Amino acid sequence: MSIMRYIYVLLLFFSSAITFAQDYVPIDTAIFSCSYFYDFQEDSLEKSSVQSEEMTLLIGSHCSLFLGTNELYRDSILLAHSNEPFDQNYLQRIAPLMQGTTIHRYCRYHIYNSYLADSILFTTYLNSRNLKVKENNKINWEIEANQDTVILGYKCLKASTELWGRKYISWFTLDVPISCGPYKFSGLPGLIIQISDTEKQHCFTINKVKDIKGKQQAIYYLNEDYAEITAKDYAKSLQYYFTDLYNRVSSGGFVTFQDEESRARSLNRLKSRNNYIEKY
Amino acid sequence: MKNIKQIPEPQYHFATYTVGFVICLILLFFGSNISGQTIISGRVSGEGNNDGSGISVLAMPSLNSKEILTYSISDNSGQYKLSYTSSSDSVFIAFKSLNFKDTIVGLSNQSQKFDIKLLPDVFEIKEVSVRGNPISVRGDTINYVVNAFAKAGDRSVGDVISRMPGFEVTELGQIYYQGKPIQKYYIEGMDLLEKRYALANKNLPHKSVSSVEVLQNHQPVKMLEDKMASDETSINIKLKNDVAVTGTMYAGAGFSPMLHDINLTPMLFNKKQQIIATWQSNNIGEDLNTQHQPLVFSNGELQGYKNRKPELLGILQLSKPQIDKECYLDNDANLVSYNHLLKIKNGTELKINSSFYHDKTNEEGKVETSYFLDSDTVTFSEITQNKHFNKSLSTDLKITQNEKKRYLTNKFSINKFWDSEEGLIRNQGELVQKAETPHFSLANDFDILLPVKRNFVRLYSFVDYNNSPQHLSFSPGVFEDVLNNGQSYGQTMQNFIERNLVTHNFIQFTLSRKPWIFETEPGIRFEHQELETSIEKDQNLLLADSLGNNLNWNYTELYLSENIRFEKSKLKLSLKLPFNFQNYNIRDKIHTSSGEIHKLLFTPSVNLKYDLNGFWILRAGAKYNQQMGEVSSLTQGYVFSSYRQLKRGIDQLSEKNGMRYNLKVEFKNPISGFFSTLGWSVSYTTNNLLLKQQVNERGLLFYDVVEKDNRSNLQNLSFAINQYLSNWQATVDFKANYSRNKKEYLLNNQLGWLRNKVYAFHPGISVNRWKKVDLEYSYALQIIDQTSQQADISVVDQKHSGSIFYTPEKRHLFGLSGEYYSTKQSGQHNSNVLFANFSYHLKPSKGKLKYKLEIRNIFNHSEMVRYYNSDISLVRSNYSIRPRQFLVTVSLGL
Repeated sequence: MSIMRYIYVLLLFFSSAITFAQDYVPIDTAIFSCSYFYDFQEDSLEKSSVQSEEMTLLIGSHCSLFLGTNELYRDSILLAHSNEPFDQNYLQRIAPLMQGTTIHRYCRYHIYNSYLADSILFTTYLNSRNLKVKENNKINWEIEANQDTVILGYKCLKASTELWGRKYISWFTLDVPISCGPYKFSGLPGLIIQISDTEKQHCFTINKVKDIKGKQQAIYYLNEDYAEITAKDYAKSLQYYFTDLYNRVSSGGFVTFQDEESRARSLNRLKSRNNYIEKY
Repeated sequence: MKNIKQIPEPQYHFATYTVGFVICLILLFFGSNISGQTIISGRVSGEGNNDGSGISVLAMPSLNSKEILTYSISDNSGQYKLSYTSSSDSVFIAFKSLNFKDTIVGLSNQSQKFDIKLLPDVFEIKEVSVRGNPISVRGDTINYVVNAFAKAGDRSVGDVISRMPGFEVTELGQIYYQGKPIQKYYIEGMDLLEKRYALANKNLPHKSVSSVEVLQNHQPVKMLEDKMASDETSINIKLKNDVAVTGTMYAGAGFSPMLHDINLTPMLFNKKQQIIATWQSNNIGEDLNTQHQPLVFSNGELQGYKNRKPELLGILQLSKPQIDKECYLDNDANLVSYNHLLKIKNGTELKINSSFYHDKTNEEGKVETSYFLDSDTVTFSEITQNKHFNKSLSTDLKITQNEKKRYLTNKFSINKFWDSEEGLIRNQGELVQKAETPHFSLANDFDILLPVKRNFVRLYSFVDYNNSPQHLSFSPGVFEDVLNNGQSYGQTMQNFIERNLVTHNFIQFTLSRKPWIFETEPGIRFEHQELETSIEKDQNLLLADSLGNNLNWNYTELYLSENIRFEKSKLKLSLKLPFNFQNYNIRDKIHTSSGEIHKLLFTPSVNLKYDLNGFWILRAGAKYNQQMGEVSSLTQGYVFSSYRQLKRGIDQLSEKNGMRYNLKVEFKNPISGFFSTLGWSVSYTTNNLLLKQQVNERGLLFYDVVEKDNRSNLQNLSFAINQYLSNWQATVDFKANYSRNKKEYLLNNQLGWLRNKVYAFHPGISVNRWKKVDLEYSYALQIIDQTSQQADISVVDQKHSGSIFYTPEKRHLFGLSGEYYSTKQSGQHNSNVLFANFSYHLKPSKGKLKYKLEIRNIFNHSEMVRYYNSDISLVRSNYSIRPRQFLVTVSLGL
């Protein structure tokens, strides 16, 4: 068992989101599934530092869930194996399935939006702690009259807002009268098809809309012992996480590199992650 | 409820209307409405279990309005509240949701309470799935997925690029994006071919390519990234595999006459090196020169050095018909080229580009030229047969170091041309013209950029040596009145030798204080030129001063150019203030010459780019231009420019002054695949010298230059729109152009104005929607109106072109393409031609070979008619085109 523990710790170490034997509680059934490309600039000063992650929005009749598509895949694997005994074989079975499902640190979260409670629940795992953020989902949108376009065949209208230190322009459609969208964006009279800040550093663009009523895809809530913090504190602790990682890497006690160059490159990369979507 | 006369039970209406939404229009007129805030609130409820929560409630000023006054989303208990300000009498409230029918009601514009019960309905979502949106955006990069635009008949990546919205590929192979030529053509981030990118674009199979990236505002010099914004666009070809061995390999044969078409182009791409080699040989009308010659256009202007061959002399050319070159080019061409890029350490690249081209082309036609003289019109008719022999070798060796800390590049080029041509002209008699136009050039181009604290210093040096001894002969001899006292004689020979050494050196200091950038560039241009011309009559040199030139000159230009730029995220402004001190030292050994000329020129310009929101971009510019003419125009002795034209200059350099203004608006939305540009430009020029043209009744032309201030102006308005329809997988485009110019001319001592108006429209569509059928169609209309003292002319050219490819099953592909041309000249006959080509492609399920059968010019047309105007003449030209031909090609596919 001690070897097992070791592997477990290792896995946790490299991918802090992998926790095993989790308690999944179904809270709704998804009606529609949308997928978005999330293109974001890691480094606010470097235009070429654009990263991309595919995200999924599951829309249920009472709430929606927004998360990385890889995260959804991971959840479904863990869920499928959740009844199995937590032994050495379990890890051997799970680990290969998890390969290649890395998720950028900026996209590691589950965002639940409850239409009824008008609230957003953001859960994540950072610095060895399960964290949650509760927020109101009210956003003050300004619909810009007579601005329209067609995206992916949906007639879209334009709305704008200012949130978390950025100005956003969103294109939503009345063709899908669901007050949902990517990330924490919602509250428009239709689905958000595309949203981006005016500097184009964070862009969500829809690329798939599917009706999954027949699929019985549950929206799960991961029941953990979460510490509640504010959104602002999360943004801060994310910054702390990168700084801490940077210090650990630069002091050499964490990872050894082949040569100075790859060490410098890796440090540079860590330093350049300075542009989380929420900046206060 | 007091404001509403009657609220019918909604169910009643829902039952009668099977349409998705119901309008109950209840309007009450309580006089005019006071325009203040209106509050409408109420409760939405549904039947059974479905409560009325989460319903989108929208207030709109009219029924089909795009405008939304306000909206609300009903809460847990179905309550909604709308508050807005509107001056109209009525307002429409829409209820939209997943579980109920869409419902719209009209109410008077009064604060009121309005409850509604909605009928249940099952909402059908419109599903979409884009397997990677064919066009996606990431910051400044727009990504086009090649598969989404490829059609059945396509072979190379260039075929596909030409169809992507926003792109345009010219016949010469030059790529334009949003109406501007691209700056770099990278393959996997490496610039192997530079301005010879047509070679890759025409031969890289699109099946090896995953996507084409458009790099907007791309700065190719790594050192300047993030420091100096660039307004240029480059493209990068992303391959499917990191390491790729690919290319084109095919051989074809046909008749008649005997035809061959061979292309062997292996390519290798990996992280360390790239190689493209080619051997191509054909006589089927495919012009290989476009893959041999570097494109020297950048920014829409001719840039870079004069490495190409100057055409000092030449036989009389036929004007080419405005149809696909493949329809008429009678060639026998060979091209061998080797291009190798090797990455060595520290971001250093070594590169060799070597290319040899050999071609024999024939052209045949009949030309009818009418000169409009005061009293009458003189018309000449001649039948021309020309043969061109082109042979040239061009080699570039280049070393580049492009790093964050240093930029260095040195390029050494050798170009040699062994060109000659020969023509037979039949009018009343026969005349043979022969020209030999060789050219040799050696050039070196050095560029280094060094950082000095936060700023830069750039050193640039360019040296070019050119030698072109060219000859042109006519037999029997021409201009016998002038050269042989009216007696006929055997042969006239024009010699023209030009040798020069050209250098350009500058230092550039860049001082960057964001958002300001100051570039100071002192530089020197120096040229030593030698020019000699003479005329021989039956191998005897004619010694008359008026028939020869011997000029030597040194040209020194000292300049100081100050470039001030202001760059904020949305606004880019640049102001150029160049001062040029030009010094000519001319020695004319035959004629008297002005000797020394000094001139100070100041040519400021200002340019502005404003990026409104990523969708809209506005550009504007103004430029004052002052330009001295070429010293080579100071040839005071006559030179034959054709067997009917003698030309000479005067002892004065021409001086042009002018203003140019331009304005361009671009709108693009790559997400919805929409691209458009609207551009306008106007320029006014005055010139102190005017060309004096004299035509005698035998059609002989004398060109002299007289001192006379004269003006010209040019206006141009262009519009282009391009839309990708994802539902139809179709690209629709429309281009329109209007231009107007006006200039003075002098013909037989009479001064006149020439006015030209050109209208052009060009809509097109390409559909990729069906599995088995691909369609493409375009139409082009061009109307030219020309007015001069002598004649009013109008020419209407029309062209319909279309193609259809049909794939009944995977192995077979049938293609039919057609072009219909119609040209009409006022007072002349219509001329219409229909071209059609057929092709059948077979790819057996086993093996890698592919077969293609083609029939070209099915209706076997033999000539094309074209009308065109010069300022003093109207020309009708009949050009012989390639007859019906059959061709079978075997290719090794990927």
